[in-house]
Amino acid sequence: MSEAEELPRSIMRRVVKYKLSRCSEDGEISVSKDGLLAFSESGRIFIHYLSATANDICKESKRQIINVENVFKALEETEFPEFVCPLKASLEEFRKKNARKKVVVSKGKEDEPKKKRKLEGESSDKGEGSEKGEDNDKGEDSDKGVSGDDQ
Amino acid sequence: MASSNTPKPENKKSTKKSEISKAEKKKTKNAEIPKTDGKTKKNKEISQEENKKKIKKAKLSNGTSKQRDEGSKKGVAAEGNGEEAKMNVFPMNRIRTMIKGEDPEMRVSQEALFAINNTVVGFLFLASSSPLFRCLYPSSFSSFSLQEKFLEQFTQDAYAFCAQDRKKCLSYDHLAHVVSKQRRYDFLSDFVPERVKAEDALRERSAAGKGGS
Repeated sequence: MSEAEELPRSIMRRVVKYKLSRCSEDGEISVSKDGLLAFSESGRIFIHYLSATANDICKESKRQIINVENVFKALEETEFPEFVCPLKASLEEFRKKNARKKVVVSKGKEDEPKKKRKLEGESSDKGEGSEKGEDNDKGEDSDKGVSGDDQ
Repeated sequence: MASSNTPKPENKKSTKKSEISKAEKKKTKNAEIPKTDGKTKKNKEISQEENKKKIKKAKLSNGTSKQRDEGSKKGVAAEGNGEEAKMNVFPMNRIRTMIKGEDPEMRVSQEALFAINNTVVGFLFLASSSPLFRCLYPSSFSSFSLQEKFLEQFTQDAYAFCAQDRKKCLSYDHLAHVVSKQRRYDFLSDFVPERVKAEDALRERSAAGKGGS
């Protein structure tokens, strides 16, 4: 359970190194173990800070589920308003791709919940109808690797 | 195969109950089936590497982290799905678990979860760029002139500090310096404090009256 409360180290390192290599002119800049741990802790606390603020905003409007508008307001309250504009842009992309996946999956099966539909879509693309559970694991792993590299 | 099929419906049922049990049972899956059978060779290699990574997490050695990076790079080359790569950087269930750990009654929509996921990446970009360099924000982010001036001045000091060491390594001290100087990072001050000598800490304690005498 302690691991479940932390952000994955390999992804953390990749994100930080990607940013540092872009900023520096000398080339690669390494990050010490303590520095990486500090980044990991910072990211974790930031998630808690942001989600707690969004939760407070959500309660004020007398709702029970935090939606994306609450997150935007929370960002402004926590003095990170510069994240809102690019976040909205990427959110639009997210919605479009969700729509695509739903269309693809609805051709096959309609009874399963949304999350599994996405995973089913991934597995059907790979051409493996059987062994659903294993396909789920593969899909998640490949997503991590791919997304890390592109950013 | 019959034995492997048995736990799957249980996992499906648990999906509806709670997210935390999902994470636990996923780990159980990986433990039970270390070698995944796949039709495609690439998928086999990727899954095996992933399993090796997960097994090695327990060791927590520097060599392991290097191997992980190499493995992930290979995975990227094999897959090449540009669209899916842009979706999420951190696993969604992990972030959901972290949020639930704070307050189990908190409920978050899928889009809000996505927004928080992307915001964390932006936050890490911001935090990692400001200690050393003048380009304070990623190009796609808008900046505020007053903050920019402050950060520019701050970055010069931090960079000078790093240049004195003549190191190409971003260390804990640089981060701690950023956190202590900038007000917007106050929420991190308890978790990324500047390092203090034990003597000074003890003096402060005695001054506060906790040490006694």
